[in-house]
Amino acid sequence: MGFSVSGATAVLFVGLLVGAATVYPAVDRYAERRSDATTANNERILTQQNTAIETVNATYNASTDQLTITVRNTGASTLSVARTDVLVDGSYAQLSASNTTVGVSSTTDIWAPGERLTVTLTPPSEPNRVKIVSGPGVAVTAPVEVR
Amino acid sequence: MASASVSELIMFIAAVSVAAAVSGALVTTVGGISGSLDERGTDVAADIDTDVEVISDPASGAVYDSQTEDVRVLIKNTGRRTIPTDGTAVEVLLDGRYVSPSAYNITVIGGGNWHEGDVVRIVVNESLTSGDHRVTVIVESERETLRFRT
Repeated sequence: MGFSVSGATAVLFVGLLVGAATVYPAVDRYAERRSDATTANNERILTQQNTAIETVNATYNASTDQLTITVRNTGASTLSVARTDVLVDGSYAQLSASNTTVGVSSTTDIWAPGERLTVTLTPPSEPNRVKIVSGPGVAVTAPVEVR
Repeated sequence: MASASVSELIMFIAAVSVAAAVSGALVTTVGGISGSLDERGTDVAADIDTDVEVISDPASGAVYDSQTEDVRVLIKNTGRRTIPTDGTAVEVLLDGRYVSPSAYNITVIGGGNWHEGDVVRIVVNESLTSGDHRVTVIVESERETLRFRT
């Protein structure tokens, strides 16, 4: 009887050990993935909260058919020009290096706090309003002044 | 004396066999739980990494095109994950009604996949009466609603 109990206990103990060794890495990976994703999410929220943009002006020159939008980064986070979107009367306007300027540079992608982004577009008709959406999703809407 | 040893041996074999069966079942079950937990971790992380924002301008009148009778919504990927646009990850509700994937199409502006920072245009082929409407886009557990007038 004594050997039977010892033998069975030993086998059960080995089973428990193997089980624990299988489940521990899975729990660890789960916790790590979740914590990585949560950290990245918190960073995104912080960037979003630190983002603020303000329209300086949006003017349409009727004689040259050119729409010029100037937006200032009034927040504390550095934004990307490539990830900035412009809607003219609700329609998406494609931005490129040739029609965007930050300060005096048209090649940079960095739109630092305090800097002005100037977008020059040629809309098909006289626009009424524009919407500028920054990379983290913070947006501003402004009416267009026709000259 | 000999019969006592034989019965003890039988008892020993029986006890070890039962314990081995229990251990085997335990290891198999725990293996299954580990696999599920691993997949769940990937899903939860993908869910947290997914973030979208409706960027359409509802006051511009460009959301509903009355001539072609379609609703156009612009959605920006503000998360850090590439979202598939083949109709498996994105669901659309128009005025609370489910829109089947065949009734709308998703186009990535600029082409390619819907990467972080990219914008997609969802065109829903539905005619709407004049009044207030709302369109809801669901990506994973992320839900964004746009209210507009026609």
